[in-house]
Amino acid sequence: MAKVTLEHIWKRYGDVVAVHDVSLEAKDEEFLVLVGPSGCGKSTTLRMVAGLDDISEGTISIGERVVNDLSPKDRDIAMVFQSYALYPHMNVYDNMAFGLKLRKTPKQEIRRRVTEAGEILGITPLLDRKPKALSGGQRQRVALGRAIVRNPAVFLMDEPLSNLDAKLRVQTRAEISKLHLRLKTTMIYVTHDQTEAMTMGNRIAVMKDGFLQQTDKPTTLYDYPANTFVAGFIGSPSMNLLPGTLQQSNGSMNVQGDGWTVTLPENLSSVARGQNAEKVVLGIRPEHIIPAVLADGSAAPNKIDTEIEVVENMGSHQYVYLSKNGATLTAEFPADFDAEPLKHTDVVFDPDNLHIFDEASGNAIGHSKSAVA
Amino acid sequence: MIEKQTPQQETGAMSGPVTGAFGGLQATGIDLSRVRSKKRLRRDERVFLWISRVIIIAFALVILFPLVMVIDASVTPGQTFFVTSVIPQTVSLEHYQNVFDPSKTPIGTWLKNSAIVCLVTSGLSVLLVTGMAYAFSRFRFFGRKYGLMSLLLIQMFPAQMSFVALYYLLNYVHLLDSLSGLIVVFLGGGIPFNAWLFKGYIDGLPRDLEEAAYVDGATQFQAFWKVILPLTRPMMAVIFIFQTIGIYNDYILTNYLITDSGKYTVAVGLYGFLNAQFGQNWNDFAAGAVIATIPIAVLFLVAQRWLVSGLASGAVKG
Repeated sequence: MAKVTLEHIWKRYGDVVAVHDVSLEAKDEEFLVLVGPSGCGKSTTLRMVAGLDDISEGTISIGERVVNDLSPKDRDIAMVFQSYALYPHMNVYDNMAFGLKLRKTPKQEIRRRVTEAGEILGITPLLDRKPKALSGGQRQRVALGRAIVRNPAVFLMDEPLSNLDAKLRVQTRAEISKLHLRLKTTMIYVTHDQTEAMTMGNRIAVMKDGFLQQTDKPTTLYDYPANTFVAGFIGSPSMNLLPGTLQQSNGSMNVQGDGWTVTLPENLSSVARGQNAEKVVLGIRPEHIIPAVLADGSAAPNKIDTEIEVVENMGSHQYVYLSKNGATLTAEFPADFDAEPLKHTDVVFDPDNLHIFDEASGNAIGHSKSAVA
Repeated sequence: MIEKQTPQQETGAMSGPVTGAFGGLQATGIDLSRVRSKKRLRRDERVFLWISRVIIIAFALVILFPLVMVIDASVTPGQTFFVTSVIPQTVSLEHYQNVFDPSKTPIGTWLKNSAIVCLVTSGLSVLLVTGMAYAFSRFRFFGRKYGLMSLLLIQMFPAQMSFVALYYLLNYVHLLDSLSGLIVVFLGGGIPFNAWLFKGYIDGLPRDLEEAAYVDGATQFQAFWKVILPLTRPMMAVIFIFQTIGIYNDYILTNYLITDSGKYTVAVGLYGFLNAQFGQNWNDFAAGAVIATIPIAVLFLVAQRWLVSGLASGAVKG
């Protein structure tokens, strides 16, 4: 059990900077998820924590110990690889026992721990098999087992679910979460899948192009994204991001876009006041675009006439792709709403769930849910 | 076709319990005939198939011919090289007796010399090449690129070019006409090619495996010794066997560096039959050749199971 602290970490490959000045802390017993598109530096960051890549600049500590110059074996970590990296010439038992044998753990103790891990993961019947005789899901469990028998201070996971099929992935996702609750070991988990990040992480660190964008609880990231990248990356389907201009109109502020105007609620207006004519991006999540007929009267003046392009019925709700002057909006409508392609429908934006970002920098100006940027 | 099959299978299954074993057999019979008739070849496919067969058989005969000739010659009594029929009329083991008679032929010594040179060279070769290939594959060091290039370059010159130099060199270090000298020469000769072969193989092993070992607590050497080395067993077997066969069969270099008849290897010793004092003794030579084949054949059979490829499959998801 230990916290992991990254202070001003840089990774350079020649002139290419893969990780820019990342400072991050995984608290003791925390499940921290590093998420971002491919090439954002999240795996590199994890590999630096593991000791598989050198740190160009900065300090990494596990517990109170600075580990910069320690080799992986001395860092008291376990890692699950995307490819599982099971030793093909050893059976499942030996794969899990390998780390313990190297540490000269007594035989009985090895047997006890491997058996216990096998039971936790439900792989006891497979202990004699070689990795090539296992299915993808079973291999994944063995890789997890290899990590947990060691009882390390920190678990590192590098996209461990990417090679599983969709159904197994959802199942294993829940199992890893359960495992974390049970073991209470600090975990750093790398993924490119925002769903995994949202469902598993106590906290999420979003990265892009080597820069840390925002680190926070899943709900905070969802409700108060720090910039347009986080806004678009977290949540599925993505938040709608519409370019517009701030305008003053009798006391409150409006955002005017191509063919639409949205009046900002009081708390957002006060944040945006004084930035007249500023170019901004209005963010609205699909579930906050409401058919005008279902909205209460207060938002009525902001009705926007749109054309329905595509309807995806999910059973419990439907995703409706709306077109307005060439721009496409994604909206989530109730399943019983009569949405038909090519028909026009009026929608309103829920004023309590608007986000405004500066167009040039992409940084958040304010969120109507809190009005605190 | 599948639609047709279904009712028949049903009939079979239904009649099975009623008529007992016989009904079950009938059902099987129907299925088998269907399987057979399923792949009816078109005319041109059949023609192509037969042409292929004729070519394969012709080549097999060409390859088998010398083998059959040698075996025939080894069991034909007397001193006749020309064998009149494929199956010899009279079978005699006199040539085998000649070969095994220590007063006439020291074949035991030759085999022993061959075994020493082959096994020591191949064993050391595998050891050296493994370490070398691992370093070239995984480490980045000064001279890596040019080292690899020069290995490839050395490979391109025929071995005969170096004979004079080798002779001079061995003479200089007093290893001429000794098995140790022969071992040193063969060892050096085999390394470039084998190192390339082995490096390519290690390049193909996923790096994740070593990294997993590091995280599991292995040092670099432990990761190499306990994870990489066991996975390269097929390649080690290939190098060991090819090296052994190559050296076992070598005549030119051995004949050139070894003059003491007590240090002859099998290949050099056998040739002596053809240069015998009283004319060429083809039949004894044939018997010796047949015997000389046995160790290599045995080696192949024993090592065959290490030659299985795909030992690394299952490491990472394919």
